[in-house]
Amino acid sequence: MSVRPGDNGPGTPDDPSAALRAAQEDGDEDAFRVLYRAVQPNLLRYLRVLVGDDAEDVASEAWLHIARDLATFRGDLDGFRGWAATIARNRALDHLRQQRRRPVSSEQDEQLAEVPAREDTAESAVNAIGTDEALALIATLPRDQAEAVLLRVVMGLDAAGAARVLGKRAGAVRTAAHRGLRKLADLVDTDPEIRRSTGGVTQTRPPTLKEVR
Amino acid sequence: MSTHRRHLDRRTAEQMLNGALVTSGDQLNDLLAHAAAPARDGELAGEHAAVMAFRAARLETALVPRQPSMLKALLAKLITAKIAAVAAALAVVAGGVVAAAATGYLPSPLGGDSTVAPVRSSAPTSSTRPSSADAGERDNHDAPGSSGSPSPSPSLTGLCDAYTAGAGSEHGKALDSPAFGALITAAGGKDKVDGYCATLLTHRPGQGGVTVTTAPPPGADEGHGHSGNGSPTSHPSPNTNHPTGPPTTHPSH
Repeated sequence: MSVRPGDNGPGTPDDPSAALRAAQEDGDEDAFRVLYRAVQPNLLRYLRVLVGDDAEDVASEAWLHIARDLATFRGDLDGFRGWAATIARNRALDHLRQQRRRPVSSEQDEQLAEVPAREDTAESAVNAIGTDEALALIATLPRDQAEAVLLRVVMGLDAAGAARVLGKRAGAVRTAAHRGLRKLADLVDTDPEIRRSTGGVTQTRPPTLKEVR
Repeated sequence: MSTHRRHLDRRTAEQMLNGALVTSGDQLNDLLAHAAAPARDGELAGEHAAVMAFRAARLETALVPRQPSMLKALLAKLITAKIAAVAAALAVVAGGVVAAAATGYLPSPLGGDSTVAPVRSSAPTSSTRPSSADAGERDNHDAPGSSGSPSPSPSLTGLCDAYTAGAGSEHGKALDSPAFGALITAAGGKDKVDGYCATLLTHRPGQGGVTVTTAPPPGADEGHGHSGNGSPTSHPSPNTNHPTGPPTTHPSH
């Protein structure tokens, strides 16, 4: 199913900001739908990097929470994104904690989500780099960097908003995000498969980005 | 700061992070753009459940302080009911007709007026209807296994049974199973499941309150054809606690 802005009920705003107000003040279900469609894909991607294949379950739990407490939320759409991300993150961390407590069947180590093996060179060369691969690459970062990048780029939060979600200072989050970006730049620069599939510049250059600050 | 030709200095990085992606064709840009690309198929699969939860939350607010635990149960049930959603939508309509017919609300029992269907099957008329098995839909006295499903719902009761039956083995582990997700949600947390189940199982026979229709009453066939066209989107009427929405559901996970 894709987002179809036109299929909401009459009078329901397509604009997520207006939808947020309508959902809160009037309990407008179609407005809530608009809100869900605006936020869920990004929330799910954030969760994917945190909890891998369990992202959908965790996202469902998060939306239950969001639906239940929306009436008590105060803020604008950016605030809502941050609030939703906070709820989802807390669920995800609970989830990870429980997994860790499970000694036998726990296959997930401290790493973030599993990354598809990029040794499948044939396949990855055929497939253009897509959302999944982008997320998989981000998931290779240390978690603080991955989260900082995702909250900024995918959830659309500013540094202060991301910092609130993470319970850190904005400066620390900014630094983590920058480090993450540089690592990603390294990855895409040094990985010929990715370079080819993005259709980007192909001149070879040594991975010198680590020197950058 | 940087002599690199990419110029990934703080300022550039900040621009990228703000979504002001610099030039296209840049691989890092492309990667970030892909990560933030528009919604794809499958990413919105939980929409119906989320909207139902939103509806349930509003009902709960409207009905406070009435039986919040029942609504919690209902809410949890909604997540687990994805698969049965279409059937449930049908059942609500059909059940509504049966109920309405039985209580005299329906002017033309066989759906001469199809717009009347999905209403009036809750509280005000919940006193009587002693008749037979097909009354399951509004019979609050749950015999486990009856096809109707009074709240808090056989599925939760069943989950509690299953959970309690596993006593002695690792509860914590059992609760990690997705199957218990609804139970945990209904209980309000993993640590509360024990108490929740204890209460639920103790009170099993006598729960009153909000009723939920999830399965077609066996005798309701007569109502199906016509009333199925009624618009389920007319929910919720003030008296209606049916959790079922437009039958445009996502039966898949």
